[in-house]
This record gives sequence, C-alpha cells and structure tokens, in this order.
Amino acid sequence: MRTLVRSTFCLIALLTVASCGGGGGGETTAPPPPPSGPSAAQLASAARLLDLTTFGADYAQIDSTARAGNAAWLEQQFMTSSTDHLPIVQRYLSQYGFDINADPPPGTFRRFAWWEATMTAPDQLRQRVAYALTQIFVVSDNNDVIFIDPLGLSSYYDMLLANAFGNFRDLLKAVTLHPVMGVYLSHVNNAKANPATNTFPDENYAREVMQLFCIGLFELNSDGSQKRDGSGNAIPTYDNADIQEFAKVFTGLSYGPAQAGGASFFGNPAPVLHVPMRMFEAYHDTTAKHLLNGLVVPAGQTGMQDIDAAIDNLFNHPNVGPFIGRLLIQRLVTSNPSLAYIARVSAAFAGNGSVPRGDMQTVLRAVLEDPEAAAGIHLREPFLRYVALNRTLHATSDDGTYPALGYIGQFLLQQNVLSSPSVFNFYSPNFSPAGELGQAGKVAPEMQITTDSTIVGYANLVAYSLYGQQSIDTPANFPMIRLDLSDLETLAADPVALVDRIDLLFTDGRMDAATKTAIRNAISPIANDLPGRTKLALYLALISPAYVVEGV
Amino acid sequence: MKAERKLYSRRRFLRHSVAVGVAAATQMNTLGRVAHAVGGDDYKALVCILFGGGADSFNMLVPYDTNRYNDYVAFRSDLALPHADLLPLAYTGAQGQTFGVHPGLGAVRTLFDQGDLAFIANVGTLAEPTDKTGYVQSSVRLPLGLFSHADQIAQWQTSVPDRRITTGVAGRIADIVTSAAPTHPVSMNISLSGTNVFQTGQNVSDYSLDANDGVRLLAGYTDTAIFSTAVDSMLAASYGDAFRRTYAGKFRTAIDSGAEFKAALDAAPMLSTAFSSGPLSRGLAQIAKVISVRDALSTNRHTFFVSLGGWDHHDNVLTLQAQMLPTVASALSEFQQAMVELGVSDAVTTFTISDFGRTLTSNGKGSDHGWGGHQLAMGGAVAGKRVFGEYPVLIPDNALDVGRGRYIPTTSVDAFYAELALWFGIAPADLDTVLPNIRRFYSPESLAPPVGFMV
Repeated sequence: MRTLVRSTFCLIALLTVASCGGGGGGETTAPPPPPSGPSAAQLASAARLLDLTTFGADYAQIDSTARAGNAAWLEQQFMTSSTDHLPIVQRYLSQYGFDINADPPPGTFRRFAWWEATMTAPDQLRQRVAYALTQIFVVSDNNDVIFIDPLGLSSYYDMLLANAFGNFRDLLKAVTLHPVMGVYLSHVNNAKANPATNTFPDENYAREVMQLFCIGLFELNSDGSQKRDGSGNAIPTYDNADIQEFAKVFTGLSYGPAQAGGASFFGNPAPVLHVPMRMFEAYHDTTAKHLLNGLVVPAGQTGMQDIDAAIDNLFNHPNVGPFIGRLLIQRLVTSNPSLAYIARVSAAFAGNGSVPRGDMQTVLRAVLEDPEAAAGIHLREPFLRYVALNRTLHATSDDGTYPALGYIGQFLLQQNVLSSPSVFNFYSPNFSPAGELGQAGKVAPEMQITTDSTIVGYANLVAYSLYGQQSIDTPANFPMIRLDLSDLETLAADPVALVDRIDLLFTDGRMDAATKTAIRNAISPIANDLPGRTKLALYLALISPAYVVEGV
Repeated sequence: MKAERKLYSRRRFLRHSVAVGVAAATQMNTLGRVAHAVGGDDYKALVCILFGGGADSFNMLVPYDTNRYNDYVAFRSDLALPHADLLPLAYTGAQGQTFGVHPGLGAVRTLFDQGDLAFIANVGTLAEPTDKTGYVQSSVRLPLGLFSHADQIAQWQTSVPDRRITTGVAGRIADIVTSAAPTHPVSMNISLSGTNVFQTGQNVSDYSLDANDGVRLLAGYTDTAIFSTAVDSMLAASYGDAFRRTYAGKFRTAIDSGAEFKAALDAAPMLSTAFSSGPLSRGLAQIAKVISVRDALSTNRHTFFVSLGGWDHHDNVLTLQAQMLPTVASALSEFQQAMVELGVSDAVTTFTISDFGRTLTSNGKGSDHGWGGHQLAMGGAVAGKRVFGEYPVLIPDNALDVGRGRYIPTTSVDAFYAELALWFGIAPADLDTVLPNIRRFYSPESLAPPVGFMV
C-alpha cells in the first residue's frame, strides 16, 4: 500500500494524447431512446433508487429497474435471501491453504469475503443496510483480538444481514450477545461485583448500548427534536446510576464453545468470536435492577431473563424510533432530514395494529420511499465511492474473486468496512464543519473525514483504479482486478453521449451543466484514443463535487 | 497547449504572489493583535496530543510516599502498580507528597527531572466550580454527557462543557490570530489526525497532513494543463448547494495548500534527531518537520493536533499501558530533542489531553469512565519539575469522589487552556472569545496565572 501511495503516478502518458487532438470534438446530441424503452426521467429515477439501495449499478440494471418500476425492485430486494460472508471466508481459507491459527493470522480474509459479496451478491439492499448498520452498531478490527480472527467479523456481518429486514428488538439482542461486541465493548467475561476485591461490573456496554445503539443521550420527541424541561434544558435519558444498573444486567457472559457441543467456561481467555456468547449464572449479578422508566427487574432471575428484560426496556423506550430512524436516514439518504421525515420514519418504527413495533422492513421502506428521499443531500462516503466505481465499471478478475480490493482504501480514504477508529464510527452524526454549513446549523457527518489528505487520496485512488494500478502491493498470488469500460467506450466517439451516460451511472442524471461542460471540454480534444477519452471523463466525473455530493 | 500552460503558470504565479503578500499582512496584523508578541523571530507553537478513549492517568502519575501509596493500592486492588516498579520523580509537594510515574515512562521522568516537563493533576471538564454537594443535588451546571466519550472528548477540545458547540479552543485562537486578514493558503492549524473540533473555528479549519506521507499531491495535476484546467473549472463553478460549495472549496484548498506545503517541506533540513516508528513518533516527526520550515510557511503561530487512540481500557489496562506508554515516552523525548536541535525549545509547548480519567476501582479487568485525570505539559517554557493542581486523596467516597473513584476535577479545562493561550500570546481581553466560560474559573484581569505551569 505504501508503495502505491508513494508511487508517483503520472497522467502524462495519457494526457499528451490531448495535445495532438483537434479542438471541438463532436458536439452532437444523444439520440433519443427507442420508443419502447424507459424515458430519461424513468432511467434517472431508477438510477437514484439504485444509488440508495445498492453498492453501484450499471446501465443494464438501471434500464431493467426502470422497465420493471422502482416499487418492483424494492419488493424483489426484500424477498431476496442473505448472501452470508462466513462461508466465503471458509472457502478463501481453504483456497489459499491458510489455517485459522496461522501466523500471521488471516484476519484480512474477512475483507475478501466482504468484497466478493458486495460485488456479486443479488441481495444488494440487504448488504447495503448491513453496511449501514456497521456504522451504528460499531465494532472494528482496530482491536488486536478482533483483527486476527476473520470468522468473528464475518459472522458479525452475517448477524446484521440476518436481522436487517427483521425486527429491531432481535437485532439489538443479537448485537448484545455477539462475542465481537463482547470483546469490543468488554462485556465478555464481565463478572458481578466482588466486595472482597473491591471490583464492580464493567460499565462499558451498559453505557454505549444506550448512548449509541438505541436511545441516545436526551429524551426525544417523535420527530427527533429534543424534549425540554421547564427551564428549557434537554432532559438526559439516563444517568450514571442507571448505567451501573444496566452493567449488572450484562454480567456473566463468556464465549460459547468453538465447536458445537464443545465445552465452554466463564473467564475463558481464548476468544471464540463466531458463536453467540453464553450466560454463566454463577458470575451473573442476581440482585434486583432498576432500569429505565421505572422498570424494576426482580432479584433471582436467570441471566438471560435479565438480558431479555433489559432489551425490552430499551426497545420500548420512545426514543428508539426517532433515534435509530435519524441514523438510518443519515446513513442511507441524507444528512439533514426534516423533522417531518424523521417523524414519518419513527411512526413506521412504532408500528400499528397490523405491523409490530420495530419492523425493520417497514422502517426501511419509510426511509427509502419518503418524498424527501429523492432529493436527500449528503456527501457520499469515500469508501462507498470507491466500491461504486468497481461495481459500476464491472471490476473483474480471472477467477471472479476480489481479494486484491481488500487491501485498498483505509490508507488513502481513512475508511474501510468494520475498521472504524472507535465505537463512535468514522464520523459523528452531529458533525458540523466550519464555514457556511456549520453557520447554517447543518450537519455533514462524512465531511469529518473529508480532509486535505483524504480528498487527494480519494482522487488519486480513482486515478490508480482507472489507469490500471489498482492491485499494486497485494500479494502476488491474488488475481489482478481489471475494470471493463467497453460499453462506455462504444459511446465515446460522441463526448455528449459519453458524459450523459456517465451522468446517469454515477450522478443519477443530475450532473450540473458546468461540470458537464468542464468534462466535455477536457475530453473533446482526445479524438484518437477513445479508451483514454473514457477514462479521463470518468476520472473527472468521479472526483467532481457533482458526484461526491449526491441528491442535489 | 504550450500557450495554455504558460497562461496557467502565470495565473499560478500571480496567485502565489498574492498569497505571499497576504501572508506578510497577516503576520503584521498578528503581531499587532497578539499582545505578548514582539518582533523578530517571534514564533510559537502549541502541540496538542490527544489520548483518545480516556487514558487511565491514575496509573501514569502515582502517589509514591507510603501513606498515599497505600491508599492507592487499597483503592485500585488488582489494578495497582507495585511500588518497586514506579519511577520516583524529583519533586516533593507542599504536604510532603511524592510521586512516581509508570515504569514505561522512563523518558518522561527524565524530562520532568531536567525541568522540561510538568504534570497538571486532576484536571477535567467543569461547567462551573463544582463540589460534591453541587454534583449530588444538581445545583450546579454539569458537563453534558459526563463520563461519556463522545461528549467528554469534544469538551476537552471545545472547553465549553455545558453546550455542544462546533468550534474548539485552537480554532477560536486561529480566528483571532488571522482575523485581520484573509487566510493564508496554509492554515496555521495543522492536524496529523484529520478534522477535529479543537482546531475548528468560525472561519479557520485545519490543514490535514498525513502522518506517514505528509503532503499528498493530486496525481497528474501539475503535469498537463488540460487536466488542471478541467479540475480548476469544476472547482471554480458556482454551485447552488452548500455541500458542493464546501466540498469544492476544500478540494481547492487541498490542492493549493498541498503545493505550498510541498514546496516548503522539500526544503526542510535533515534533523539529526531520530524518531521511532510508533504512530505518535511518526506524527511528531512530521510536526518537527513543519516547524523546521516555519519561515517558508509565513506564519509565526502554529497549532498542531495529533491523536493517539486505544486508551479505553475497560479490559487489560495493565498489559496495554505497559505496551503503549513506552512508545509515548520515547515520542515525547524525541520531539523535545528535535525542538532543542531546531533552537525552538522555548517556543514550542506540547501538552496532552484525554476524554477523562478513569475509575480508581477495578471492574475485574480494567477501569471504567471517570472524570478528572492528569495531563502533562512539555517544553522549554514550561515550569517543569513540578506537579500542578491538586492530586486527590485516594480514599473512597471522600469529598471529591462521586463514585468508584471518579474525581471531581480540581482544575478546569478552561484554566488549563487559559494558561496555554496567554503564553501563546492571546491578549487577556481576548480570553473571553477563546474560552467563553473562563470567568467562571479565572479573571482575565488577574495578575496571577490561571494555573502556573507556564513560565
């Protein structure tokens, strides 16, 4: 990776072609679509929906979605079963002859699986939602125990996939019992208080499950605005005494058995990260617990009864709908949803006579089909831009796997899947940058990692990808990744048609006139090298503010 | 093509000339505005090191005299460091208290003993002076989200614990320093750890250097005009949306600052001080490099920000601190040595911050989120070889302990930053802008220093 970054990549070879070019170039208009095909507006609408619900779509998929209709696409996606990552990891381990206990351990293999699933899986919406959930229920390989075991994070991802269209309560419980979370927020091997040694239950998970995973710090109205007390102050949802009560609930958990039917014990120092944690009653605090909104969990229950009671207590807190609703909107659609939009999503979360509370499918429909979703503005995550480049431009390899892509990203983009620097994700949902956005009271979470160094790092990564150096620095036995630009190249004789197609693929047919003109002016002189013209057009489009900021 | 390039170069040249002119004006205005500043080579820099996650500083600076050490052992149980492992400091407090540092902080002890480093004990976020009664009865304003990472790490950077605001201490300092003139192409606030609240002002934000690679240049940009022209025109377009304007502006700055910075850094002298390979050492090495070319960057004030995460030791605190602290100690020592080599030891002050201290009691594996903790300041202008502030008596449930050994801070972040800001040259009259809550803790008109750790 370092060599890749340091290598002084140079566009001269390509761009000198421009100097022999003639000016002008074919300023013709694109031919009208055949009468039977979808209209430009239908294509653009499908492109926008696919932008929100996949990791990137090519023209064929946009066209077929436009023909079938956006509603049909969503129905089909909600019906598609999960493409799990753990089996892919197992396959890679055997394919490359790695033992799980190898040194160095093959932790990176879970990224290979992620790329393969993301590039090829038919359940794009489910995968995309699971990815969004990784930025809410954050765990990270920025932790030595988690990093070295590829089974842990891939099974965590599978757990998110399995619950992505299920019920939020099940999701919250599954997150709570997952051993990767147990390691990350240290409630694995968390014992009840011991007066003899003056030790107390670990408060870490108890705090973060409330602050980050379901209710947040302050009481909310259903539209996400903060409730106020008589003096106009925000009302905390919990205090440190509440955290100490929840900490007692999350005692007694340790790793399950590595093999089905095998032994397990409390305090096991050997992590087992791919089966749910188990309760060991002798280490569970059995005193009564005073949870939120006056709920008292009686003394003497089993550990799992206590955990169920605590999960119910949290799940039924009125904050969950607006709190999680806003986070999902921010991850999938827009940084600054209106209060009304949040209220609609939180009503979907609350359910009604026929739909239960916390039904994720209902919530996701409310997020994606809201009238505001079509024009939801936000800055695309750098990592997702890079994924979309590879999917939309048909990245392929000789054997159909993508391990090389698993190495790229973090260094240039400050982002990679399940690799956040802390439980607070790569950016805060409330980050507000200096300048006019901050002064207007707008948040722009993704701007927090949009720095001098990552802006340039991303642009250079686009260049490396387009100009064929994408697989630099990956181990020699991994297949090379190649993009297939042939369908764009067939349009490239006409700069207008080329830019219009790129606009549809990446900017949902919404690229502004100034950006289109800048790209056309740049590529028109390259008359004798259509692949070169295509690459330059793509490069400029992919680094343009018109692409990086979507929804305008 | 040739003509195009020539035109382009001329435009670049003009822009550069304007920038230099502006920089000179900025410097003059800064000198006028920053009261303590005098002419000549008046350079000063603040280097902020953030220990992300809440470092367990009660095992970094530890009571050493028998009575206080025994209290510490009783409180910390399985987290206590053995007395024989502590490295005693050459300092005795007014009540006869002595201190040792963690065995991994040998180089820090050396810096302390030679007078280049001081500790500030039990400093933390306070919305106003707070005692236990006020805390228990909620009769005083308390920091929002007390004991939680997200809020506490932010409040250590904003120094406004009772509100959630988007500007930080160094950002507001930079707003003042650069207020009289347009911003220089390269910000005076330089981050090795990306965007942060600490260095974000109303108008100023950080310039972000990569800790490994330093300046990152846009591939191909300077190679041919057709390419730069296209990029330039996209970035210069007038966008109707604030997100796009903001991104285009940041992209423009990244290109221009990168070019300026690269030119300056290419001329950096080779330091004879060697830096280790740890992340903090790498970051501090980049900072030393920037300081070495301060003249070329046309500014007489810098703030630097570098963050080192991984201190949230709910688990395995003893093992992890033993691994991490030696890398911190060597990084600090190397950086101080580099500052001496560059002849700016008196002009560069380095200090640490962290989300919070941690509970004195154990959870059986590590410690949980606390409140007050201990920080250090290092540099030739630091009143070294002393422990400032009030190190708490480590007895459970005393007047400062709000539970499990979470200590109400006895020095506020406001006082801590006021000390640094005044040294940096911020006029007392501007302290209200830099630290909006300062009068709750310190009168800017006072003749006494806020804490006393700067000479």
